[in-house]
Amino acid sequence: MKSLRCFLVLASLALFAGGIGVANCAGNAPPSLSPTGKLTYQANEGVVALGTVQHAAIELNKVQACTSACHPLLPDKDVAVVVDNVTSALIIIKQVPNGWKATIISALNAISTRLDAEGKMRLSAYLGAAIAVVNALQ
Amino acid sequence: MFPPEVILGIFNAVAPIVKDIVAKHLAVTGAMPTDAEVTAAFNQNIDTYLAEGAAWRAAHPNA
Repeated sequence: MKSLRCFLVLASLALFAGGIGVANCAGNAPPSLSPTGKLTYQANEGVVALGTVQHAAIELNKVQACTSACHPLLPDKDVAVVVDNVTSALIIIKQVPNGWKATIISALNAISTRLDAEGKMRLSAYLGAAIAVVNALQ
Repeated sequence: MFPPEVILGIFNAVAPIVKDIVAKHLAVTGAMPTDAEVTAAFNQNIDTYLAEGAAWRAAHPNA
C-alpha cells in the first residue's frame, strides 16, 4: 500500500508538471496561427490530456496484482468505462473542434461518476490532473 | 504491494506525453507551425487514441 501511495504521489506530481507544460504551451500558442489554428492547438492539448487518461487505464489493466489470486490492477469494467467515454468524446471533438473543452470535461466527469471505488482510487490522480490541465487551457 | 522499481516502471509507461508542437516544429524546420500542421497533429493524436481504445476493445469484447 505504501508503494501504491508513492506511485499516486509521483503520478500526481508528474501530471501536475505536465499540466503546467500544457498550460504554458497553450498560453504561448504560436503567433503564426490564425484564430482557428489557435483553437485547434488548444484542442490538441486537451485531446492529449484526455488520451493520457485512457492510456493510463489501459496500461494499468495490463499489470497483474497477485495476492491470493491474480487480477488486473485496473479491472476490465473500469477500463471499458474510460475507453467508451474517451472514444465518444474524441469522435465528437473531431467533428466539432469548437466544443472540445465542454466535451472533454463532460467525458472526464462521466468517467469519474461511472468508475467503481477501485477504479476511482487507481485513476483519481490522472483524472484530477486532466481536469486541471483542461481547465487551465483558455 | 509492488517494489518501487515496478511502480516507477508502470509510471514511466503511462506518464503523459505532452508534446510542445512549437518546440518540436522549430527544432525540425526552424519555422513556426502553420494552421495545416497544427490541424494535422490534432487529427493524428485523435486517431492514435481512437486506435488505442479500439484495440483494447477488440481484445476485451466482453468488458
